[in-house]
Amino acid sequence: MFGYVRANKSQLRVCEYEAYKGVYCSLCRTQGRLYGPLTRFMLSYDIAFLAMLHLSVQGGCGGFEDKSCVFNPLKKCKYCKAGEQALSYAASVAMLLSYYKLRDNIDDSRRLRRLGCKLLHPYYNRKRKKAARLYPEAAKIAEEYYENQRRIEQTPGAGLDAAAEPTAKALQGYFALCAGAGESRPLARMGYCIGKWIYLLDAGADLEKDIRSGAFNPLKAGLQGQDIQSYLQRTLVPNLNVCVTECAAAFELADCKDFRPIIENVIYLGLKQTQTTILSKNKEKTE
Amino acid sequence: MKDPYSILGVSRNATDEEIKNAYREMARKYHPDNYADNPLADLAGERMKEINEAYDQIMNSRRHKNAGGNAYSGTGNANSNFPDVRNLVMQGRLEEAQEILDGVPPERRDAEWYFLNGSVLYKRGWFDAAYTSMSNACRMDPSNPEYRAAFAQLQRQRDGGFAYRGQNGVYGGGCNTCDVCQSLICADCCCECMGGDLIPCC
Repeated sequence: MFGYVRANKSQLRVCEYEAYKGVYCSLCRTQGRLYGPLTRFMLSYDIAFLAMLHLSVQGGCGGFEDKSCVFNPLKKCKYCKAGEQALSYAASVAMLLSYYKLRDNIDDSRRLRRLGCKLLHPYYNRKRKKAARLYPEAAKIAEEYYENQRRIEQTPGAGLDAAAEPTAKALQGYFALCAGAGESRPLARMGYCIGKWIYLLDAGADLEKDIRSGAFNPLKAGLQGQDIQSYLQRTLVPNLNVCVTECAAAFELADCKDFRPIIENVIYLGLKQTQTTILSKNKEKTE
Repeated sequence: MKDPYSILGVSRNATDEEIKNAYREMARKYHPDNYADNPLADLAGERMKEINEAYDQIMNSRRHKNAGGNAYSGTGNANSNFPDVRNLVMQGRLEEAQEILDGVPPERRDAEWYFLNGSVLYKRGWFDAAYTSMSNACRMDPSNPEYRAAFAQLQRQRDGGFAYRGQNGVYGGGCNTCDVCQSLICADCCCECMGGDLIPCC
């Protein structure tokens, strides 16, 4: 996960921002407890969003309490008083996705980096097995994601929809699991749209790099010598916009209770903000 | 049925005007047109039904004229070349619908084929391919209102339009520093007219 799914901080109320940070800190603490302190760097705002969604639909956060930061004892953080189920679920998803990212690096990278990844593999694999024991369905989703992604990358002519499908389906599964016993279809649709959005945005951000390195990128096929920026505006941005609007439509049918204003901020403001920032960073690099 | 006032999010003491506004807000959010090609359309339909019943119940009990709900007429089935596909789509059986569509030879793929193909793709989440298919449908049959409406909806979404902005004022209204300054200066002028002075330096 790339930290693309985040709130527009300047439009959060102070209490909402504190709660948002609180979820992140609680996740950090749980990740360390479950998988060891070295795995904390696997966290991102995307995973925090997943935890928040789970807590929003199934409840259980129980409010926040002040304690010292697990990383820097001189700092005070807010931690959820309860909600371990949501936090350990999100932490485990982070672990599983990181493991398959490592496998990806082993498959694709050159010598030195590949060697480094291979050395890490036994450690990651142990953690992955633990996550799989705790959340077998989540483990299956991650494995299918990895296999489908590799398969589609062997198809250079794959369209945007086909290329984004593995990521979309993975997040569809992860968001649906947040529903518990309740109606999962709106959450599944939200996950599908956000997954697709993440994949396409990343493809847009990496287009130039992938052209130079020869890596797979579904946007390459339609480029045909045009100016990259205007090509992305015409081809990529409308698709990103549909993902966001569809996600919002699904969200309005989901049963989100706690943290609702923060989730609204992410969907209605945060996603668009990230989109603009990432794609204009691209623009600056070329100018 | 749940309390109709809580469904519309109003208090029991709300005025008729407030109830009408609340109903309009919710209807705008869950209107079937916003979920036209959406696989969650049935859930939105249930919400819409709930909202309509709540509004009717409140207005009836206040003995006012019944405003009624929004009638939603489904897509035309009368002269379809692919009635089986339309039925499958309405039942949410998307894979079967796609199989039938894929089985149609290229020379028989008319505007309706492209429209139905686009609908199925959209429901599956293949937004890019759906757009291509829908635009073909409109190109082949520009006068068809069904295809134009669906295409227009998709175009609106591609341009970044939300059907509904959140209830938080920041998404729609709210005020910025210009509004604040403007108001203060006006207040200061009014104050000075009366002989006082709100802001000494203005």
